[in-house]
Amino acid sequence: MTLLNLNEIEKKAYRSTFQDGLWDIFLGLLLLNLAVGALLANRGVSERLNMIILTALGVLIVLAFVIGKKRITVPRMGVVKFGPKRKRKIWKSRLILLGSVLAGLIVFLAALLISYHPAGRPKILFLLPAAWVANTIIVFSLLAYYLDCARLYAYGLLFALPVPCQIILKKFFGVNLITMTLAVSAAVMIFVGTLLLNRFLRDHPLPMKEL
Amino acid sequence: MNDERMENQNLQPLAEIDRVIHEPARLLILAYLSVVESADFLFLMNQTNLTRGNLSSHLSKLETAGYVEIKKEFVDKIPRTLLRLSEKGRIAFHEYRRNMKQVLDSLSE
Repeated sequence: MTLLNLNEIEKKAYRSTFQDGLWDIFLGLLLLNLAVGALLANRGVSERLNMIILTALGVLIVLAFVIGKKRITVPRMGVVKFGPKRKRKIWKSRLILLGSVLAGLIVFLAALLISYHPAGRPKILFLLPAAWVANTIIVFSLLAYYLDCARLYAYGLLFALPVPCQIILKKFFGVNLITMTLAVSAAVMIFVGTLLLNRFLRDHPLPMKEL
Repeated sequence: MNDERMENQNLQPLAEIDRVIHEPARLLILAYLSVVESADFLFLMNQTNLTRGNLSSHLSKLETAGYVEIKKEFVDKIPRTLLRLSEKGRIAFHEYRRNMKQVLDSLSE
């Protein structure tokens, strides 16, 4: 980086906000939450109870993330407001995320309605895994691009892969390991996040005096 | 006489270099502040790798020159020093870049 390359300076400043590992741990925990859901479903827990547990855990994860950012990151790294160009990129990424959640919700609800079809499980349900893979890869790639965070490309794959892996394992070995495949992907993200968090805490000790 | 005038003309951009900005640490501070809307003291200290004392002294000089606006506030009872490039600072930084480019471009091999 040359000293006067302002674009690089802006990117470096922005990327530094992702180096605390909390986003990685957050995404890993969200995926782990899905693994818990799959585990509970396999154990015969009712759909309604499963949804309640997943929602409660999801809320806890989001709260832990927000508190972590406030208590761990901000006191060590300080605060920054980025310029209009970066703000536009952040807004675009928020819209992408919102669009993805809405698309996922619509597909989920449609699948739920179709699964109660009197003629049994229609073949269109087999498109669900493809929709999951496409949605996660496209959304994470767009987020990686707009947020200038290359790790998100890999996380898109880690979110997408458990589903096709499970299909292959079931087809060739007859085993249902969806909990395991989701948990492995989640563990990778949590591991990376923990390493980053450890490095962040080492490199950014709490300042002695308030600034 | 003509040669002397030409030499003076060539040196003109060099004479216009802003000495407040023409110091590596202050240049770095302004470069960071020029790409963000605002940042607090801690963020700038982390990004520039300057010590607290060093950053503080350079910020004082930039504030005296009217290039940086410094606002102290309390967030959750914790004091926070918010920094922002002033309009005057933005113009000065832009001119500094232009002048330096001119000077460096005119340097012969």
